[in-house]
Amino acid sequence: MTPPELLAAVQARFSNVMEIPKSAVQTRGAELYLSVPPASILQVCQFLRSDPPLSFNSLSFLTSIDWKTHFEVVYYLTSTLHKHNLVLKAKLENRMAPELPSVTTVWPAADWQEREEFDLMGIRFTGHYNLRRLLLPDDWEGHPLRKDYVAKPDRYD
Amino acid sequence: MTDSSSITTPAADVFPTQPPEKGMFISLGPQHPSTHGVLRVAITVDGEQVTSAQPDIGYLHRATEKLAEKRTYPQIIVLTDRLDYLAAMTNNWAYCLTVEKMMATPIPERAEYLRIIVGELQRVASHCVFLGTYGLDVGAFTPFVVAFGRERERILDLFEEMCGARLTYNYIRIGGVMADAPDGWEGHVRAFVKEMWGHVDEYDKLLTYNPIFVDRTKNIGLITAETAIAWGMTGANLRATGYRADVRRDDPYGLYSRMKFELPLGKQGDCWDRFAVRVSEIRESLKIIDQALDQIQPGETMAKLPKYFRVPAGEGYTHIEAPRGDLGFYIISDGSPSPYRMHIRAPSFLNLQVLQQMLKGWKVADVIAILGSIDIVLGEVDR
Repeated sequence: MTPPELLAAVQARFSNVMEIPKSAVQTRGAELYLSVPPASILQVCQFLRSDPPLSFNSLSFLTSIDWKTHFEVVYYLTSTLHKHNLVLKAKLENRMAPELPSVTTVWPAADWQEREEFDLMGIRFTGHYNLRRLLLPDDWEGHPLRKDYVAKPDRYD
Repeated sequence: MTDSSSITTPAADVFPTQPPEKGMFISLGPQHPSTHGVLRVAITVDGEQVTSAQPDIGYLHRATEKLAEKRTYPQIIVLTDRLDYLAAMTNNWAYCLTVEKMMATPIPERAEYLRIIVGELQRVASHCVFLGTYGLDVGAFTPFVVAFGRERERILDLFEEMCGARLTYNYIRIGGVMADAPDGWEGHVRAFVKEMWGHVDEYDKLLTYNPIFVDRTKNIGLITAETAIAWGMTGANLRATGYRADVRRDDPYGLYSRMKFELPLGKQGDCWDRFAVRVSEIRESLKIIDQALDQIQPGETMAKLPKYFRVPAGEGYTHIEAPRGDLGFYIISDGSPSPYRMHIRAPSFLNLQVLQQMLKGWKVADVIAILGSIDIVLGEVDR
């Protein structure tokens, strides 16, 4: 499907999903970018995966960005059947307690990727079956990929 | 022998810290010769059968994504060398492609061909390491001496001739390549490719159709294409399930659209298929190198870029087919000299997490055979 067809297919089902328009001054890929309210991310993902004309069967990667005022979680979806891509973005306004539903039940590939974002960015994925630190030790303090993270000097510094 | 075929949510078996009530707890690694780096797999067994397995990673975490936020764009290339240290060329390539896409820089044709030649040589070298170490994992020593000690060394010599380094090259740069190939280099590559065809047949005799090896790997560690895709598996591991997927074919980058090559596919996604697919991939890489050497013409190897450049604000994602699968870089730029955020889609990271489902139900003796067959590099898993 082409990006306009994808947009129409998604918006026919979810009216609260908006396209993120490409601004003239910013560089970006040719994929369709959608902004999804965090509360409905699980329903949107379930629909994208199970709807036959869309069948986004692969979560290529999941990451998050600290925009200093808010967090943004990015989902890059691929359909290996129809060879189309889609980027979902969820904006988390509450900087003190960023939280959104986990998509591990839709794509098991989200398992470690969500744990990584929890570990390094401090975003809680509710409903994840094993949300623990992945790369850093369990007793680590803070989330290093946040822009306001201050590294504590240790005996090697 | 339960199924690893049905797609299920990862079961709620959290990381075992206490000995299980039934059976035994085995901690494989972090220092274990067959874990290919520092990886720990916490396994619980009931008799001979694995009941749960949880990989424990992070021992090699160097915070590459955070480091990238403090360095300029050209300085990050050396960081990418250290991700998948068995395939540094393709890491450089994936990163540079992303930055070039964001800046819309045209690449000289000769540089594109040189990239394909070194990229495919790197794939051969990386698969040689896999063949050698996988032989070691299941108890065959000769392939290690032959593939790792002889052929891979030849490729590293070619790289050394080209850029001076043997492991961390920093050869592919934003806008082209560091330097043109020295005189006579193309002839050396041709001679190596000609010789390599015979060596690949030798690997087939040594391992692929060796009855002992086949007994250890055939019908072991099965995974279906559907499960593999849902868990994010890519590369040779996915093709071993019989699924046709390759970034070089599906989303061509560089000049791959001009190359003719086959995609070797497996039948049922067992350890033997994963091995055999990689042996066949070496042959396809040799074909691509030959074609690139036929088509390459003298010319510029670097685009005209200012000494000090900025990447326009915005974002970009590009992925390539690295030896271990689909390697991608996602960069957010705010127009400053360094990226605002960089995310690495590392194929080994996603290939490894399916292990928790793949090991379940198999015998303890198969654990190493399954772990070795998915060909991970911990530098890339932990980043």
